Amino acid sequence: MDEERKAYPRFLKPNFKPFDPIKIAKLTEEIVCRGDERKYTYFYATGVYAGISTGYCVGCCLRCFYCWSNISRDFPEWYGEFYSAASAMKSIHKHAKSARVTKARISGGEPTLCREHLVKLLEEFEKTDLRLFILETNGILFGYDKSYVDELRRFERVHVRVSLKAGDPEAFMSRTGAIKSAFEYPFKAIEHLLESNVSFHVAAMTDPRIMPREERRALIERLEKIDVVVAANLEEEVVDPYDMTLIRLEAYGINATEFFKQTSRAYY
Amino acid sequence: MQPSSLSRQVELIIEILTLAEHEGEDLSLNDVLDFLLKRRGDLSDLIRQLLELYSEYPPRIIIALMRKDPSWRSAVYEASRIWINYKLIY
Repeated sequence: MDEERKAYPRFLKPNFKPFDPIKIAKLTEEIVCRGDERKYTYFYATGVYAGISTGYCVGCCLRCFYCWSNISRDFPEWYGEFYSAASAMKSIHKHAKSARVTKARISGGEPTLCREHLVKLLEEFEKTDLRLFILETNGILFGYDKSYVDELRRFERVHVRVSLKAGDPEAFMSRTGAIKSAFEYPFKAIEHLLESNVSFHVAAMTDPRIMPREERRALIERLEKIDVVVAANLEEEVVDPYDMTLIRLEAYGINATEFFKQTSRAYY
Repeated sequence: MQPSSLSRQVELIIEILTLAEHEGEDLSLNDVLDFLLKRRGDLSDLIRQLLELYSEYPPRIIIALMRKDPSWRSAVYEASRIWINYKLIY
Protein backbone atom coordinates (compact mmCIF):
# COMPACT_ATOMS: atom_id res chain seq x y z
CA MET A 1 0.00 0.00 0.00
CA ASP A 2 2.93 2.40 0.68
CA GLU A 3 4.09 1.89 -2.88
CA GLU A 4 0.58 2.66 -4.08
CA ARG A 5 0.52 5.85 -2.01
CA LYS A 6 3.83 6.91 -3.53
CA ALA A 7 2.40 6.26 -6.99
CA TYR A 8 -0.80 8.25 -6.26
CA PRO A 9 -1.78 9.74 -9.64
CA ARG A 10 -1.78 13.50 -10.09
CA PHE A 11 -2.11 15.09 -13.56
CA LEU A 12 -2.33 12.65 -16.44
CA LYS A 13 0.89 12.78 -18.46
CA PRO A 14 2.01 11.02 -21.66
CA ASN A 15 3.13 7.40 -21.03
CA PHE A 16 1.19 7.28 -17.77
CA LYS A 17 0.75 3.97 -15.97
CA PRO A 18 -2.98 3.05 -15.88
CA PHE A 19 -4.42 2.73 -12.41
CA ASP A 20 -7.29 0.83 -10.84
CA PRO A 21 -9.88 3.52 -9.98
CA ILE A 22 -11.30 1.39 -7.16
CA LYS A 23 -7.87 1.37 -5.46
CA ILE A 24 -7.48 5.09 -6.14
CA ALA A 25 -10.94 5.69 -4.68
CA LYS A 26 -9.85 3.93 -1.46
CA LEU A 27 -6.55 5.83 -1.30
CA THR A 28 -8.35 9.11 -1.93
CA GLU A 29 -10.91 8.33 0.75
CA GLU A 30 -8.06 7.91 3.25
CA ILE A 31 -7.24 11.55 2.51
CA VAL A 32 -10.65 13.21 2.09
CA CYS A 33 -12.97 11.20 4.36
CA ARG A 34 -12.98 11.07 8.16
CA GLY A 35 -15.94 9.27 9.74
CA ASP A 36 -19.00 11.05 8.39
CA GLU A 37 -16.90 14.05 7.38
CA ARG A 38 -15.59 14.94 3.96
CA LYS A 39 -13.26 17.64 2.67
CA TYR A 40 -14.74 20.58 0.81
CA THR A 41 -13.01 23.68 -0.55
CA TYR A 42 -16.05 25.97 -0.65
CA PHE A 43 -19.81 26.36 -1.03
CA TYR A 44 -21.62 28.53 -3.56
CA ALA A 45 -24.71 28.92 -5.73
CA THR A 46 -24.55 28.94 -9.52
CA GLY A 47 -26.85 29.14 -12.54
CA VAL A 48 -26.36 25.62 -13.93
CA TYR A 49 -29.38 23.33 -13.73
CA ALA A 50 -31.43 26.55 -13.74
CA GLY A 51 -30.01 27.48 -10.34
CA ILE A 52 -28.34 25.19 -7.77
CA SER A 53 -26.45 25.41 -4.49
CA THR A 54 -23.16 23.52 -4.53
CA GLY A 55 -20.64 22.04 -2.14
CA TYR A 56 -17.24 21.80 -3.89
CA CYS A 57 -15.89 18.47 -2.66
CA VAL A 58 -12.29 17.30 -2.79
CA GLY A 59 -10.99 14.16 -4.45
CA CYS A 60 -11.73 11.91 -7.42
CA CYS A 61 -10.88 8.40 -8.56
CA LEU A 62 -10.29 9.34 -12.22
CA ARG A 63 -7.83 11.74 -13.83
CA CYS A 64 -9.63 12.97 -16.96
CA PHE A 65 -7.25 15.14 -18.92
CA TYR A 66 -9.97 17.63 -19.88
CA CYS A 67 -11.43 18.00 -16.38
CA TRP A 68 -12.38 21.51 -15.22
CA SER A 69 -12.30 20.89 -11.48
CA ASN A 70 -9.76 22.73 -9.36
CA ILE A 71 -6.34 21.48 -8.33
CA SER A 72 -7.71 19.82 -5.22
CA ARG A 73 -8.59 16.90 -7.50
CA ASP A 74 -4.89 16.18 -8.11
CA PHE A 75 -3.54 17.22 -4.70
CA PRO A 76 -6.31 16.40 -2.20
CA GLU A 77 -3.85 16.37 0.70
CA TRP A 78 -3.30 20.12 0.38
CA TYR A 79 -6.78 21.50 -0.09
CA GLY A 80 -10.10 21.66 1.69
CA GLU A 81 -11.45 21.39 5.21
CA PHE A 82 -13.49 18.64 6.79
CA TYR A 83 -17.23 19.14 7.12
CA SER A 84 -19.71 16.79 8.73
CA ALA A 85 -22.80 15.92 6.68
CA ALA A 86 -24.90 18.23 8.86
CA SER A 87 -22.57 21.21 8.55
CA ALA A 88 -22.07 20.69 4.79
CA MET A 89 -25.83 20.63 4.25
CA LYS A 90 -26.22 23.67 6.48
CA SER A 91 -23.81 25.58 4.20
CA ILE A 92 -25.49 24.29 1.05
CA HIS A 93 -28.91 25.27 2.42
CA LYS A 94 -27.68 28.73 3.42
CA HIS A 95 -26.41 29.42 -0.10
CA ALA A 96 -29.62 28.04 -1.61
CA LYS A 97 -31.73 30.43 0.45
CA SER A 98 -29.46 33.36 -0.29
CA ALA A 99 -29.62 32.69 -4.05
CA ARG A 100 -33.31 31.70 -3.94
CA VAL A 101 -32.70 28.34 -5.59
CA THR A 102 -34.30 25.04 -4.64
CA LYS A 103 -31.76 22.51 -5.90
CA ALA A 104 -28.57 21.21 -4.30
CA ARG A 105 -25.54 19.11 -5.26
CA ILE A 106 -21.95 18.38 -4.41
CA SER A 107 -19.56 18.77 -7.32
CA GLY A 108 -15.92 19.42 -8.23
CA GLY A 109 -14.63 16.06 -7.04
CA GLU A 110 -16.38 12.68 -7.21
CA PRO A 111 -19.42 12.88 -4.88
CA THR A 112 -19.69 9.13 -4.33
CA LEU A 113 -16.37 8.96 -2.46
CA CYS A 114 -17.00 8.89 1.31
CA ARG A 115 -20.18 6.82 1.21
CA GLU A 116 -21.02 7.36 4.87
CA HIS A 117 -20.81 11.13 4.38
CA LEU A 118 -22.92 11.13 1.22
CA VAL A 119 -25.70 8.99 2.67
CA LYS A 120 -25.88 11.16 5.78
CA LEU A 121 -25.78 14.28 3.59
CA LEU A 122 -28.82 13.00 1.70
CA GLU A 123 -30.55 12.28 5.02
CA GLU A 124 -29.87 15.87 6.03
CA PHE A 125 -31.13 17.06 2.64
CA GLU A 126 -34.43 15.21 3.21
CA LYS A 127 -35.01 17.39 6.27
CA THR A 128 -34.73 20.62 4.25
CA ASP A 129 -37.33 22.34 2.10
CA LEU A 130 -35.13 22.11 -1.00
CA ARG A 131 -36.74 20.29 -3.91
CA LEU A 132 -34.05 18.25 -5.63
CA PHE A 133 -30.56 16.92 -4.98
CA ILE A 134 -28.59 16.31 -8.18
CA LEU A 135 -25.91 13.67 -7.66
CA GLU A 136 -23.32 13.96 -10.43
CA THR A 137 -21.02 10.95 -10.68
CA ASN A 138 -18.55 9.18 -12.93
CA GLY A 139 -20.43 5.98 -12.10
CA ILE A 140 -17.33 4.00 -11.03
CA LEU A 141 -18.39 3.22 -7.46
CA PHE A 142 -22.08 2.83 -8.37
CA GLY A 143 -21.06 0.29 -10.99
CA TYR A 144 -18.68 -1.52 -8.64
CA ASP A 145 -21.17 -1.91 -5.79
CA LYS A 146 -24.90 -2.25 -6.43
CA SER A 147 -25.70 -1.94 -2.76
CA TYR A 148 -24.57 1.68 -2.95
CA VAL A 149 -27.21 2.44 -5.58
CA ASP A 150 -29.81 0.50 -3.59
CA GLU A 151 -29.16 2.86 -0.66
CA LEU A 152 -30.44 5.74 -2.79
CA ARG A 153 -33.88 4.20 -3.26
CA ARG A 154 -35.25 5.61 -0.05
CA PHE A 155 -34.44 9.20 -1.05
CA GLU A 156 -37.35 10.60 -3.03
CA ARG A 157 -35.81 13.87 -4.10
CA VAL A 158 -32.49 12.64 -5.55
CA HIS A 159 -31.63 12.66 -9.26
CA VAL A 160 -28.39 11.11 -10.49
CA ARG A 161 -26.36 12.27 -13.48
CA VAL A 162 -23.88 9.65 -14.70
CA SER A 163 -21.07 11.15 -16.75
CA LEU A 164 -19.54 8.77 -19.31
CA LYS A 165 -16.03 9.42 -20.53
CA ALA A 166 -15.75 7.15 -23.57
CA GLY A 167 -17.39 4.66 -25.91
CA ASP A 168 -14.69 2.00 -25.79
CA PRO A 169 -12.15 0.73 -23.23
CA GLU A 170 -9.06 2.03 -25.02
CA ALA A 171 -10.47 5.55 -25.25
CA PHE A 172 -11.62 5.31 -21.63
CA MET A 173 -8.10 4.50 -20.48
CA SER A 174 -6.48 7.21 -22.58
CA ARG A 175 -8.87 9.92 -21.31
CA THR A 176 -9.18 8.98 -17.64
CA GLY A 177 -5.93 7.17 -16.83
CA ALA A 178 -7.89 4.19 -15.49
CA ILE A 179 -7.39 0.55 -16.51
CA LYS A 180 -9.48 -0.62 -19.46
CA SER A 181 -11.55 -3.08 -17.43
CA ALA A 182 -12.97 -0.16 -15.41
CA PHE A 183 -14.71 1.05 -18.59
CA GLU A 184 -17.65 -1.22 -17.75
CA TYR A 185 -18.36 0.25 -14.31
CA PRO A 186 -20.38 3.32 -15.48
CA PHE A 187 -22.53 1.08 -17.69
CA LYS A 188 -23.10 -1.22 -14.73
CA ALA A 189 -24.05 1.89 -12.75
CA ILE A 190 -26.71 2.71 -15.35
CA GLU A 191 -28.12 -0.82 -15.12
CA HIS A 192 -28.12 -0.63 -11.32
CA LEU A 193 -29.94 2.71 -11.39
CA LEU A 194 -32.59 1.30 -13.73
CA GLU A 195 -33.07 -1.77 -11.52
CA SER A 196 -33.34 0.40 -8.40
CA ASN A 197 -35.77 2.82 -10.09
CA VAL A 198 -33.68 5.84 -9.09
CA SER A 199 -34.24 8.96 -11.22
CA PHE A 200 -31.22 9.58 -13.43
CA HIS A 201 -29.95 10.63 -16.81
CA VAL A 202 -26.67 10.06 -18.59
CA ALA A 203 -24.18 12.61 -19.88
CA ALA A 204 -21.20 11.85 -22.09
CA MET A 205 -18.16 13.76 -23.32
CA THR A 206 -19.04 13.49 -27.01
CA ASP A 207 -17.19 16.68 -27.96
CA PRO A 208 -15.78 15.76 -31.44
CA ARG A 209 -12.42 17.22 -30.42
CA ILE A 210 -12.27 14.36 -27.91
CA MET A 211 -14.60 11.62 -29.22
CA PRO A 212 -14.62 10.51 -32.88
CA ARG A 213 -17.99 10.25 -34.56
CA GLU A 214 -17.89 6.44 -34.81
CA GLU A 215 -17.22 6.12 -31.10
CA ARG A 216 -20.12 8.46 -30.32
CA ARG A 217 -22.41 6.33 -32.44
CA ALA A 218 -21.25 3.13 -30.76
CA LEU A 219 -21.84 4.72 -27.35
CA ILE A 220 -25.40 5.79 -28.20
CA GLU A 221 -26.18 2.37 -29.68
CA ARG A 222 -24.90 0.69 -26.54
CA LEU A 223 -27.07 2.95 -24.37
CA GLU A 224 -30.03 2.22 -26.65
CA LYS A 225 -29.61 -1.50 -25.96
CA ILE A 226 -29.75 -0.80 -22.23
CA ASP A 227 -32.75 1.56 -22.42
CA VAL A 228 -33.99 3.72 -25.31
CA VAL A 229 -35.06 6.59 -23.03
CA VAL A 230 -31.60 6.71 -21.45
CA ALA A 231 -30.10 6.92 -24.94
CA ALA A 232 -32.54 9.53 -26.28
CA ASN A 233 -32.11 11.67 -23.18
CA LEU A 234 -28.31 11.66 -23.40
CA GLU A 235 -26.75 14.99 -22.45
CA GLU A 236 -23.79 15.62 -24.75
CA GLU A 237 -20.95 17.53 -23.15
CA VAL A 238 -18.24 19.73 -24.64
CA VAL A 239 -14.90 20.75 -23.19
CA ASP A 240 -14.75 24.36 -21.98
CA PRO A 241 -11.51 26.33 -21.52
CA TYR A 242 -11.42 26.47 -17.71
CA ASP A 243 -8.03 27.34 -16.19
CA MET A 244 -7.39 23.82 -14.96
CA THR A 245 -8.56 22.31 -18.25
CA LEU A 246 -5.89 24.29 -20.09
CA ILE A 247 -3.23 23.18 -17.60
CA ARG A 248 -4.29 19.51 -17.72
CA LEU A 249 -4.38 19.48 -21.53
CA GLU A 250 -0.84 20.86 -21.65
CA ALA A 251 0.37 18.39 -18.99
CA TYR A 252 -0.99 15.59 -21.18
CA GLY A 253 0.91 16.89 -24.21
CA ILE A 254 -2.03 18.53 -25.99
CA ASN A 255 -1.56 22.10 -27.21
CA ALA A 256 -4.47 23.82 -25.48
CA THR A 257 -4.51 26.81 -27.84
CA GLU A 258 -4.71 24.59 -30.91
CA PHE A 259 -7.30 22.38 -29.22
CA PHE A 260 -9.68 25.23 -28.56
CA LYS A 261 -9.21 26.73 -32.02
CA GLN A 262 -11.18 23.74 -33.31
CA THR A 263 -14.97 23.99 -33.40
CA SER A 264 -16.66 21.94 -30.72
CA ARG A 265 -19.68 21.09 -32.82
CA ALA A 266 -18.12 19.85 -36.04
CA TYR A 267 -20.80 17.23 -36.51
CA TYR A 268 -23.90 19.17 -35.46
CA MET B 1 -59.99 12.74 -36.25
CA GLN B 2 -58.80 13.96 -32.84
CA PRO B 3 -55.19 13.16 -32.00
CA SER B 4 -54.98 10.56 -29.25
CA SER B 5 -53.83 11.68 -25.80
CA LEU B 6 -50.76 9.43 -26.21
CA SER B 7 -49.77 11.05 -29.49
CA ARG B 8 -50.16 14.54 -27.95
CA GLN B 9 -47.97 13.49 -25.05
CA VAL B 10 -45.40 12.10 -27.50
CA GLU B 11 -45.38 15.39 -29.40
CA LEU B 12 -44.77 17.37 -26.22
CA ILE B 13 -41.93 15.08 -25.13
CA ILE B 14 -40.25 15.53 -28.50
CA GLU B 15 -40.56 19.31 -28.03
CA ILE B 16 -38.86 18.95 -24.63
CA LEU B 17 -36.10 16.75 -26.07
CA THR B 18 -35.57 19.36 -28.79
CA LEU B 19 -35.30 22.08 -26.16
CA ALA B 20 -32.82 20.00 -24.18
CA GLU B 21 -30.70 19.48 -27.29
CA HIS B 22 -30.64 23.07 -28.51
CA GLU B 23 -31.11 25.27 -25.49
CA GLY B 24 -28.65 23.57 -23.20
CA GLU B 25 -29.09 22.08 -19.79
CA ASP B 26 -29.44 25.20 -17.73
CA LEU B 27 -32.94 26.41 -18.48
CA SER B 28 -35.95 25.33 -16.49
CA LEU B 29 -39.41 24.56 -17.86
CA ASN B 30 -40.50 27.89 -16.43
CA ASP B 31 -37.80 29.68 -18.41
CA VAL B 32 -39.05 28.27 -21.71
CA LEU B 33 -42.76 28.33 -20.93
CA ASP B 34 -43.70 31.28 -23.13
CA PHE B 35 -41.75 29.85 -26.06
CA LEU B 36 -43.42 26.45 -25.65
CA LEU B 37 -46.91 27.88 -25.34
CA LYS B 38 -46.48 30.08 -28.43
CA ARG B 39 -45.00 27.23 -30.42
CA ARG B 40 -47.43 24.55 -29.25
CA GLY B 41 -50.52 26.24 -27.93
CA ASP B 42 -52.43 23.09 -28.94
CA LEU B 43 -50.61 21.27 -26.13
CA SER B 44 -51.13 23.98 -23.50
CA ASP B 45 -53.14 21.69 -21.19
CA LEU B 46 -50.31 19.15 -21.07
CA ILE B 47 -47.66 21.86 -20.70
CA ARG B 48 -49.47 23.26 -17.69
CA GLN B 49 -49.74 19.75 -16.21
CA LEU B 50 -45.96 19.47 -16.35
CA LEU B 51 -45.50 22.97 -14.98
CA GLU B 52 -47.34 22.05 -11.81
CA LEU B 53 -44.88 19.24 -11.14
CA TYR B 54 -41.60 20.26 -12.73
CA SER B 55 -41.49 24.00 -13.36
CA GLU B 56 -38.00 24.54 -11.89
CA TYR B 57 -36.31 21.56 -13.49
CA PRO B 58 -34.23 21.47 -16.68
CA PRO B 59 -35.58 19.38 -19.59
CA ARG B 60 -33.46 16.23 -19.13
CA ILE B 61 -34.42 15.87 -15.51
CA ILE B 62 -38.07 16.28 -16.47
CA ILE B 63 -37.75 13.48 -19.06
CA ALA B 64 -36.11 11.21 -16.46
CA LEU B 65 -38.89 11.90 -13.94
CA MET B 66 -41.61 11.43 -16.54
CA ARG B 67 -40.08 8.05 -17.42
CA LYS B 68 -40.97 6.92 -13.89
CA ASP B 69 -44.48 8.45 -13.98
CA PRO B 70 -47.09 5.83 -15.03
CA SER B 71 -49.22 8.48 -16.76
CA TRP B 72 -46.31 9.55 -19.00
CA ARG B 73 -44.11 6.47 -19.26
CA SER B 74 -45.51 5.01 -22.49
CA ALA B 75 -45.28 8.37 -24.23
CA VAL B 76 -41.68 8.87 -23.05
CA TYR B 77 -40.68 5.51 -24.53
CA GLU B 78 -42.53 6.19 -27.79
CA ALA B 79 -40.97 9.65 -28.15
CA SER B 80 -37.52 8.25 -27.36
CA ARG B 81 -37.81 5.63 -30.10
CA ILE B 82 -38.56 8.45 -32.56
CA TRP B 83 -35.90 10.80 -31.17
CA ILE B 84 -33.05 8.27 -31.14
CA ASN B 85 -33.06 8.24 -34.95
CA TYR B 86 -32.33 11.97 -34.89
CA LYS B 87 -29.49 11.40 -32.44
CA LEU B 88 -27.98 8.70 -34.64
CA ILE B 89 -28.13 10.70 -37.88
CA TYR B 90 -25.44 13.11 -36.56
